[in-house]
Amino acid sequence: MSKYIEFTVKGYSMYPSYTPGETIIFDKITEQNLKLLRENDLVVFNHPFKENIKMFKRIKSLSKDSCFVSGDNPDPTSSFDSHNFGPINKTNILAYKKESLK
Amino acid sequence: MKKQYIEAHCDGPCGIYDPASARIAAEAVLSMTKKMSDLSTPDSSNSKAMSAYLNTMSRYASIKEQEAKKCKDELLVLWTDFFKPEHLESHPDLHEIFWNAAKLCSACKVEVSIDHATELLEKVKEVHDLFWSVKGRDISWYTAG
Repeated sequence: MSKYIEFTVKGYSMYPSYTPGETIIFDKITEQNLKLLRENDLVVFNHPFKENIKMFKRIKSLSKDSCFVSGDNPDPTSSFDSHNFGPINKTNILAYKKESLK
Repeated sequence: MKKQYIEAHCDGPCGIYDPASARIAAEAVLSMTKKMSDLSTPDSSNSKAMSAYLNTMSRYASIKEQEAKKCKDELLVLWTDFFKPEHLESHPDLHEIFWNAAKLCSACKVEVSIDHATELLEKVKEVHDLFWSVKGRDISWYTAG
């Protein structure tokens, strides 16, 4: 089974770093690499309220079990993120990508 | 292979913010405060006139309090939902403007002060200027009253 997973971006909350239609390869989360998550990493996680929806944001800060995520878009109305729903539990993270801000 | 999508949407809130709601409430507070100040007290021996006076004054006070609360709620939504930490870098007085405006809402709710109600409307104008400057749009200030 591949340790990588590919996703295509929808929406503008990660603009200008990522635009709709762009395809990104992420590392699938495992118990081991979950510990490697750091600020500025990109993460794919389950929507906190809606089933079957995966979200794409950047980690702004981390604590032991949760992390605060937000969009890159400087327009505050363009991203629904931890500013709205609070920090997400790390167990909701499905995949990640190491990268500093473009 | 089926393409899998990840959402980078705003998806939850409507994203529609406008300080006009706070401005309308602040104008209502000022209007009610003026009406309360202008209402003359009738002869206390005239029971009918006294009842009418008390009824009118109570209604003015009730509306003033409701609108002051509404104004504060609208300001808090802008402060805590719309504005983000990066806006503080370009507008370091952001917190002070909202703090003072919210405090004035409380003062206007409790008092009958034309000075404070006028000051509240002026503070809401500061919020208007700040908000539209962050949005990069030139929107003129106006009042309905």
